[in-house]
Amino acid sequence: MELNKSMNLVSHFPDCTPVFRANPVRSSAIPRWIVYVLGTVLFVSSAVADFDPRPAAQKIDEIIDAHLEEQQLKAYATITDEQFVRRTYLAIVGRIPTLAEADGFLESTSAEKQSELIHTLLTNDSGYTAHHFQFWADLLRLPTGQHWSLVYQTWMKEQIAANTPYDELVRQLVSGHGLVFDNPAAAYYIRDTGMDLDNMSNTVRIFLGTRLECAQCHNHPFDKWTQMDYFRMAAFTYGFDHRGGNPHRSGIHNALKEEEKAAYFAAAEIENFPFLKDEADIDKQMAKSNTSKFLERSGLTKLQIREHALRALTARTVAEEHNEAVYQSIGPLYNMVTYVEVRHLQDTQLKLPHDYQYDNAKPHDPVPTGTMFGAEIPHHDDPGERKKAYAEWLTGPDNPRFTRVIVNRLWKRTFGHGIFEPVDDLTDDTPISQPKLLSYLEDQMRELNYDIRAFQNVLFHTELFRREMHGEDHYPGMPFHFQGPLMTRMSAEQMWDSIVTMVLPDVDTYAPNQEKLLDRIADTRATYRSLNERPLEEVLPRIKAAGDLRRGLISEQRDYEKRITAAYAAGEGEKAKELTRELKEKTRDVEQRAQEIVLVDLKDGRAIDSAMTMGSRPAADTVETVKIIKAAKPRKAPEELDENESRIWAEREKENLNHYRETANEMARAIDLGSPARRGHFLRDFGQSDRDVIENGSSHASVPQSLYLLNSPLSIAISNPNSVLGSQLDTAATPEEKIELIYRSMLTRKPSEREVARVLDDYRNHGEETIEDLVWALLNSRQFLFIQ
Amino acid sequence: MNKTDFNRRRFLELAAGSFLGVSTNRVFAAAGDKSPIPPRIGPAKQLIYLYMAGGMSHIDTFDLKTGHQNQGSTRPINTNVEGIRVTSHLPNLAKHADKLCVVNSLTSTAGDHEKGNYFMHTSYDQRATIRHPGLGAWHQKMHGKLNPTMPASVFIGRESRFHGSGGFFEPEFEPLAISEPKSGLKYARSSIADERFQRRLNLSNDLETEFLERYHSKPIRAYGDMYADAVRLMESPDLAAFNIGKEDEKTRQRYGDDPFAEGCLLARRLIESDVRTVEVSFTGWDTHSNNFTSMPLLCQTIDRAVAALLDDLQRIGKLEETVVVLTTEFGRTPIVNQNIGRDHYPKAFTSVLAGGGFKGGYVYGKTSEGAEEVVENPVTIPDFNATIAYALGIPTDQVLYSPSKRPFTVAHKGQPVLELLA
Repeated sequence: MELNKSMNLVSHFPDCTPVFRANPVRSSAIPRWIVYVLGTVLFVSSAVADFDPRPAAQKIDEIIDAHLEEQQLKAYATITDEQFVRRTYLAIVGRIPTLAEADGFLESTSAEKQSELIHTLLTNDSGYTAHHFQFWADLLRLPTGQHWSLVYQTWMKEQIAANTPYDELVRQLVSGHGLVFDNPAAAYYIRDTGMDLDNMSNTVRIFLGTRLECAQCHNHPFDKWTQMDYFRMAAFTYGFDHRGGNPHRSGIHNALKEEEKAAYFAAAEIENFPFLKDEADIDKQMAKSNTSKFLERSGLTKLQIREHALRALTARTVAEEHNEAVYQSIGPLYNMVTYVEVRHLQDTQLKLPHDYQYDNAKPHDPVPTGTMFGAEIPHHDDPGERKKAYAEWLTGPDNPRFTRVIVNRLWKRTFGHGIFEPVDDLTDDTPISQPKLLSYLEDQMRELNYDIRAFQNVLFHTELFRREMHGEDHYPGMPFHFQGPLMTRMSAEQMWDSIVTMVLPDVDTYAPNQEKLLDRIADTRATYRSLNERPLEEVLPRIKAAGDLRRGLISEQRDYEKRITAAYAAGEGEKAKELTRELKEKTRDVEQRAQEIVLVDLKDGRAIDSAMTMGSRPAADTVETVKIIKAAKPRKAPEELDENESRIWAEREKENLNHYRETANEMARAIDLGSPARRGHFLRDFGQSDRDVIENGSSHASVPQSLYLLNSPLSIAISNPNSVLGSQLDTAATPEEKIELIYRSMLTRKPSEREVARVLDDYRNHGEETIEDLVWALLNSRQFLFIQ
Repeated sequence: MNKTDFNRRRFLELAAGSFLGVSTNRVFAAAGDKSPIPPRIGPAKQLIYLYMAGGMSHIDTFDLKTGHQNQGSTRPINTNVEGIRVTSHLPNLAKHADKLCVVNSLTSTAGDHEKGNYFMHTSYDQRATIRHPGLGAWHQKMHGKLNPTMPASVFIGRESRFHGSGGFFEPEFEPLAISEPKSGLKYARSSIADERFQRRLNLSNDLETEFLERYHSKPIRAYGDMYADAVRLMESPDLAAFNIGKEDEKTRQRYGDDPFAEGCLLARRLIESDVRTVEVSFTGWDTHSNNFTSMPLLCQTIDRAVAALLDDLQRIGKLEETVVVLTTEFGRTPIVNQNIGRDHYPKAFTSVLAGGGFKGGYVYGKTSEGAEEVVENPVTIPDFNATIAYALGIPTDQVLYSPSKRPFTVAHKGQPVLELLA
């Protein structure tokens, strides 16, 4: 697959429709990217309909039933349709269903309606991607917004949307190389820049579920891995450079150095004059034996030579001083696009650490590559080939842990608990309570050619997925028998996305920040092009011009410094501060002008190349929703209110509307927001991973969470008449209807008689405000937080 | 260490691994090397950690080299302690020099912001496989909360990611983060009348009955407890600690009206309410250009706020039991660059300690004539952190294990510098 072509798809991501293959043809002649042509979709192969997941699902249930029987345990009861539709939405598209979506399912009379729902959701491409992306972002520690991650995250979303087979995806990541704009998967290595060894530990942990990091410093104390195993594994991917440097940057340095050298030789005025470091170097040179020959040839005295040398050295110093401002300009410009390329480093071989303490080798010995288990890889001199072979080994059929780990992760994601736990600390002694189940799932995954969606399709079709949750204590380390799935709290993203669903329409395709992201990619690309892809002869004079500007600034700086210091000394603090502000402004101005001179592929800080930005207009749904938020209005006071009551009504409406606007303006599904979201955002408070360490998302309770739900304007935004739920409430006539609407929207079920009676108790005494109270009460309830 | 030793160690660690938190270092310490330092008697209880993000210039603040060409235009003033001089832009702190323990001999090799910041906050190199806990988290882990209603540690600053967090410890060790000291704790107050708030709580509880009868797992119960905690905090007088609006105008002026000053004021209120650890972060010290015109403003900000903080801590009787740290990731190049700025310089730099039993009016360590290198009593970052930990009564040889069973201590291999304590 030619990855550079995939860049063209970026802009069409929200509209893309799935390529959903139950039985993909591995060596498909049609490159995946061809599937998307300007947002239209061609189906590569017929979708999920061809594939019947039920026989495999049935087999899984048989294995589990046999296990339960052996354990003398009973499977839990089957859940209601209401529970099923909510659970399935959360599991596949990561949010609760809207009222209409739930009704569509509940009112269907089809005998196959559960299967149809699973199918519909698995083919809801943007919804599925929005949910599944969080799984990857947490595993890969994928932060958005870095130079190197802008394209990477977009590419990951495409891979999920396109349902790239898991093994192929991992192969691309682990063999990632080159410029991220051409091969976004290279960012997999850039993520751990400067930490090659850690990157290997992370690879092994993510894809092979094995913890090697202890063996970096000594033999693993709790597992069989030796330090030698560790270093031999690390040798596969060692010796790549991910840093910000690039040929142009050093080219400019060299060119400037050459100029200084030229000034030196020009001033020396003698052919083949020796190149001296400094004045002290003159005497050293004179003492050398070949100097007398040089004196003879040139017919000059030592004194004359010294004069020439001093002239040459002075000329070089002058040139160096002149260039200093140019050197100073290189950093700020080139730092605008750092860490965007993985390059080979020549002649670097991994060596054992200085304190290597075992008998099988000595400290500093070079380390040959070697796999920790499975097949050996033949030696490759070429580092690129070596990395590719390593990726093949990792994802290959002989690797005993590759398939095992992904099926267990997906199983846990579906049923709340792994077949083995923890999912990423697999050892030879890890107790596996249902080995038959595990190996059946591995076979299935291989048979499905690592089609992740098809595999999940099987899991969703099991009876187990339809069983009541286990909501009792389960202690880590104890076997879990799957009488039903383990009850878990919604993830931060599921909660947030569910709340967004109650406020805004069509949330799966609503992507208000997509345009900004694509623009940023284009700008970064253009910055890179200006600095690194134009001929050096073109870039160098521009950098010099930027240096000229800076040189002017430096002389002004000195003057300012004198005036500011004098002002402070004279006790004129305000004057000093004013001058400081002025100087800051001037500095900023110079930086900006320098950028204008050098970054010729941008105008006003934006990429000129319109081809990149053309497709980035927001999708129709997004435009529509933005309009709805903008058009939000307060409700008119009912006519029966007197003047004073109307005033109070209007004030309250205005305040609520403000809360609605503030909340709705910031809303979109988590996938469209920064990853991680900013600190203090709902998502972070509720445990979204900060993308710092692997699987760092958390569902632990915390006080800020409670405060958020108790006192933030979220519940006001949900009940506001301009929101999805609020507008439905606005048209309902009786309190009973409203109560039912709220229950069906928020909890996807009808309220019980007792619940209706309880709410009506409050309603009788406090009237309409009880409706808002109910929205608040359910938002703060554990039946909302925990998935049943 | 030879193989036999390793096996012995491995055995001990395996044995210890099943009881997380058992120290094996003690065993080894007894067997050889250095003898362990007994924990401090009557340690300090609280910590205020003032972090100067970006790299605070040592030569322009507390390690002046008057007369040397490296000094540039920075001028010294006398302090209330003979022999200690600071920059003329710290006139208020100069009056508190008798409370300050200035360490002029910090030295490190971490020269970029991210790594330097991480190292200073955790004593460990930043790694992609683990996140190390900071001092506040260790403090809480060892000593628990002082006030059960309040969080054990609070971070005040605008950084979207900060180091010295809860690390690999359980989620309850994560500091509560506040971005805007002026707004205090987010969503701490209800916008509706008490009566209605209560009614809502009752409604919510009554509508949960069936669910809670059916499901009782620990995470579900934890949410019940957390709501109780949140409501208790909302009703508690301690909540006011988060509100610097309660301070009179005079006090606020004493501190200053910038976010760092407000952070210090908030820190003082939180310490008064028995929060264990408060960090206030202040960015802007990365003076690659215009160093000498930036320093006055930066110094003025800390000068007013930290002086006011020390005054207040003494007044309320908290100074003796509260360690105050003013630190940064590295110093700045003694030689001024072309842009009249100074670049990153981890080789020699300064941090300041106060309160908590540290010596006052004391200068430890020395740099060369031009502040280029440490020539007396070098202090590594782990040593510096071990000293703070020691002052707080955190045993520096206590080993705790990460979930992946890797052993860690509060200040890695750092040794406390006992001379700094009175």
